[in-house]
Amino acid sequence: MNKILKGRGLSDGIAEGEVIITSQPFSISAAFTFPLIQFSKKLKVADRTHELYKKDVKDKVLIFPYPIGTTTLGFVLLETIHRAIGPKAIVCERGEPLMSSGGVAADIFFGIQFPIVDQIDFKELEQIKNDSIVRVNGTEGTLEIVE
Amino acid sequence: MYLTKEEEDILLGNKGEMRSKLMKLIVKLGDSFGADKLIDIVSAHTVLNFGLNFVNAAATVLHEIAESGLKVKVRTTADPIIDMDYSEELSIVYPMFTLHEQMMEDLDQIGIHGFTCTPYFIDNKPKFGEYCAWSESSAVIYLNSVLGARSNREGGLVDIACGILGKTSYHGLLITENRKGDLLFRLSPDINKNDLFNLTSIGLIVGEIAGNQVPVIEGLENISNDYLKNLGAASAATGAVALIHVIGKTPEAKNLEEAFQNDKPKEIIDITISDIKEIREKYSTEWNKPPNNISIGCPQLSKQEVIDVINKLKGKKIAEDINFWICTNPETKNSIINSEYNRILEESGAHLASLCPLLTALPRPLTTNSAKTCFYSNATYRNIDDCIKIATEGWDNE
Repeated sequence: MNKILKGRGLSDGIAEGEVIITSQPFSISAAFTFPLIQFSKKLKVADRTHELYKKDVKDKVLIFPYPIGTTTLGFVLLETIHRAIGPKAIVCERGEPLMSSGGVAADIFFGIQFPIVDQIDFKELEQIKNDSIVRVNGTEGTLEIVE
Repeated sequence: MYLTKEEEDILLGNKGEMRSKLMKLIVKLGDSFGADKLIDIVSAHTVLNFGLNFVNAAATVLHEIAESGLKVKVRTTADPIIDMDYSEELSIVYPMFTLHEQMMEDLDQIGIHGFTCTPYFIDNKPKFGEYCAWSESSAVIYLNSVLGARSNREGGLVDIACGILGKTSYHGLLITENRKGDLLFRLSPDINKNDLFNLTSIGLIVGEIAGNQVPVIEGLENISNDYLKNLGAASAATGAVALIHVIGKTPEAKNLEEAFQNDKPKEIIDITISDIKEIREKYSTEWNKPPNNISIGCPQLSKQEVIDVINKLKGKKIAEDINFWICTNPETKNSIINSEYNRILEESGAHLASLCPLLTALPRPLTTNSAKTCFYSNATYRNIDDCIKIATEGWDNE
């Protein structure tokens, strides 16, 4: 049976994908705004100060400890979800309402579900290796390690 | 969470589809973060007005809200818009504003007006203890810290939903216990506390260490509201800080006991002159050529701050190849232009603009005295006198 980690669901939906994980806090605004302005097909992290700089997070399940950054981050995340160029789901240890608003607004206004789960200890999360396949259930608040 | 009969009616769609969607957004976020009810607010402030080409989805929602005929229930302002008086100087930036006109029409339809990141300098100035739903990190921290009003860091769209419904979810910094200080910052006695450049650098340090906790600063009881605005904006950039208590200055921190709600700080951090030097080196981008733009006023300047800068420019002339931006709210801009200060301003060649200073970054290099601009725009970070010196005497003379 697959290992299932239980957390809190912040934005509904189910998604399965390859993991990209970082132990650094993540600024969604700093990472995604520039590729959005450039109308890129991929989503290479544009934050020069981040270890994921230049890494493509399109279609990945993005895992980090907690989000940081400005109050634009909600609609920046909404834009990446709407254009389908961003990650498939986000899992972190400590979420906050600004980040959730991007996922929740995508569901309410566009009918696109983007699962976000938090409240899973980062010590558990960092056991998960890059490129592992996981299933994120934002409705139930779970992260299942598939392989 | 508990909803009143009226709130539940809205949620169920009995008061229209769009109103129901906006209620769902607030209730879902509130439920996730432990809110047990909604609470009435007196004002809102949104960041969702950029008009930049990367906010299409949010602009679509804004347009749908406008078309639904809904209007804000409380005073709602928005962040600065582009300043059409400077089309030539900002020609690189303008083509990115493809959504500007439509968004302005929609905001107007919804009843949102007053475009500044310092809405408390115009008529959106909540009183002590009042509940609000604001975005714009530098404005939220001013509201909580200086005014003693209460707001979480809402996001673009959520802020507008709150403005329309006149409510937000009751959690986070709206609750007294969550406004308790976490960390105590003390300043070494040899730091000049009247020097704005020191204070904004302290802001960078405080934000970086505090993250999303509540910092308390001891030793700044004489700081002005304007200087605290600039310090707070820095902390809200390097961290997610939304409230700073300053002992003997801010309204919830008469003394240490009040700031920490009779508890002890989790940690005590001493800031020294070498910490200040270090943080400047960390965040300042040192370009090897002279700046094209010099930007003052992030957050936008108060009227007194504008006058202070203009007085420093008296008898000086900005170099022709440099744009020297002084950013303030539209009302202050007009009032200065119609005052005796306009002559000094025109003779100096500086631009008094009502735009967001973060839009003055192109073409680079950029020099600024703002810690926030320095953080977001890869700018060279200098004190105001050095900024003026570079602008008027040239790069080599710095």
